[in-house]
Amino acid sequence: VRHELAVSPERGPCAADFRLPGFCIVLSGEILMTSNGFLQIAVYVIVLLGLAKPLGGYMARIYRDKSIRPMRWVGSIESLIYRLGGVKPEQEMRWTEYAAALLVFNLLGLIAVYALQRFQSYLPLNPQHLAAVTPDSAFNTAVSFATNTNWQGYGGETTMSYLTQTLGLTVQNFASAATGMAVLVALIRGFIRRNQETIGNFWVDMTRSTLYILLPLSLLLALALVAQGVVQTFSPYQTVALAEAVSYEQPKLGADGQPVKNHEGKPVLEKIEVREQTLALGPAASQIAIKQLGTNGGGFFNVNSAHPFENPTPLSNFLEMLSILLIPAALCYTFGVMVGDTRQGWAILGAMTVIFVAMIFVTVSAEQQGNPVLASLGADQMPSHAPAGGNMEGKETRFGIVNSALWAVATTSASNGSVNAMHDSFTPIGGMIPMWLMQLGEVVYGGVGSGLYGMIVFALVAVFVAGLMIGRTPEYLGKKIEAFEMKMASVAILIPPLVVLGGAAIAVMVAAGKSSVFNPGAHGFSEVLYAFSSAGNNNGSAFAGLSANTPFYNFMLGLAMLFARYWLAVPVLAIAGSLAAKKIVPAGSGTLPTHTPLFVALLIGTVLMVGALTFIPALALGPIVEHLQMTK
Amino acid sequence: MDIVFILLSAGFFLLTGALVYVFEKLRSAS
Repeated sequence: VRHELAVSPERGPCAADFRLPGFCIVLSGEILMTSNGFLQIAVYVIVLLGLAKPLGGYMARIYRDKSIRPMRWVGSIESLIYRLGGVKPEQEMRWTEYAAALLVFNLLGLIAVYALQRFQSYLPLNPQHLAAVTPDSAFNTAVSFATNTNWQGYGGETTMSYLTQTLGLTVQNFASAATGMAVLVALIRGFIRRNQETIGNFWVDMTRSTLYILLPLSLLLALALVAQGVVQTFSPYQTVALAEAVSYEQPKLGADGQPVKNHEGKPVLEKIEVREQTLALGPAASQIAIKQLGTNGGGFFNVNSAHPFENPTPLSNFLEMLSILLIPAALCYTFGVMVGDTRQGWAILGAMTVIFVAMIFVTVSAEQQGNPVLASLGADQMPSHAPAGGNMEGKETRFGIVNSALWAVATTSASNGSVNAMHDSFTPIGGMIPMWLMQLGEVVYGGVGSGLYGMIVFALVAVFVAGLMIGRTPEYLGKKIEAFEMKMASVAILIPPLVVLGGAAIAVMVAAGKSSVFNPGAHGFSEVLYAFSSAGNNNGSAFAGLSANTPFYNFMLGLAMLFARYWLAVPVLAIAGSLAAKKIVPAGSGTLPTHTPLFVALLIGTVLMVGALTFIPALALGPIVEHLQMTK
Repeated sequence: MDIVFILLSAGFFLLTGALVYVFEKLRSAS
């Protein structure tokens, strides 16, 4: 399609009318991107990687129970929590006990959020007098927030009371993030312990993750967001006069609720003039901070981070985007420190970053190229000082192409469901990349804790494949990887595709699934596939074109989220228990070094091959067909 | 409907608990 997108001679790269220096177009093969775009992406990646070491080192100290002078006062709060909860912090758990504690804690959290939604009309902090959430939606939302998915079938400002948002959803944002971190730390202990039956104490890992990492970072981010204009109040919604009245026509409805028709059988229209608008408010900043840092993503408002009260400025956008990948990236360094070889952490971080950067360039380029149908009609979609160019449908003008595409890639790399642009309006290729990133298993940085433990599972598969090739027993970090670990790794890798492809197949076969699809053909299939990819990998973002707040989708996606979360965490904990009981064997001449560029390439290849072999056939029916239809 | 969804959630977690038991048996046997 290059001919349709070629820069016209009058408006060539760095032409004179491109007065803003940032709009110098770089043409390199099929990549179409402004130098401004390159710069923004580079700054983002550099700052992200630059913070990985200090934060990763700090988290390693927390999990190794080392004292941190400025945080010593938190120790008394920690001790109080243990006393109140009857927890003996020195009491270690076997992997089965650890898993049981995790499951009980998560079930109780799920039921608490469900009950809060169902009883919110009787509870305080509901100034808008919002009704109880319907049972199927409450189930879906409770599962969604307990599993760190934050898929939202509801609109926050029209559905959830302030109490439900703060005590239910925000608390679960902390708890679910800490759960992922706890599982990761347990797995890391599996590598560093020898001949032991225990992998740590779940309650201690949860408490320390929350008190020393998630809460302080959230507090800092919430203050920064408030300074940028994000709302934080318990006041009721405000009704204000519009600066300019808006008028439009709509069909007049009769007493039966049906449109009144004239003698020609056409609907009678009535003119509506709007002079006031209700502004939804609420304690948003505190929820948004942890929604990003905990890779949750559930918006306080319906349009999530596209809403000016959630994400008002380019600076707030940058801070939120940075927060999304901050902890997952830093945990790689934590992993390296804890296993006693930081090169191991850098290798995994390197593999993640290579995939991430490649995906950014494909998405930004696809969006910057614009809509090929409009291009074929002669529409000028090149960037200049006036129009942003490219595909701006569904994007906020204050963010533009690069920050919308970068956000989409960052959130779907992490298991963060927030959006600052509507993914349904992305070009087919621009929308396919976020979908594929989720389908890769949310391991490119991934969710807090869950991303890295998912990537370590892929690393086990990579060393196993390498072991098969050279005819030696595979080892990773001094632990022999044997049949049990591979069985557990296989379960962890196969559950999400089973849930995603199985769920999408059922949805497009039954009437209850098809009735929610308003876009016929390939795009409608993409919407369904995206929904199950999101729920089946605990991401939470949506294409948004699908009408998903129905009993069928609330139930199906709820089940998908449950399986994707807990049927991965359990085999990972089983691996941790198995590894902890093994001895550590010294590296020999037949040991594959796992800190080298060769291993990084092997790991990237494993992730991409598994993702491609599993999902390309389904993608071919959705975004790939749609792309070919648009460019024929 | 409330009881259905609560039982469904509890049932899923019980099933996952059973999975823990099965995996531990597998590990012990390996």
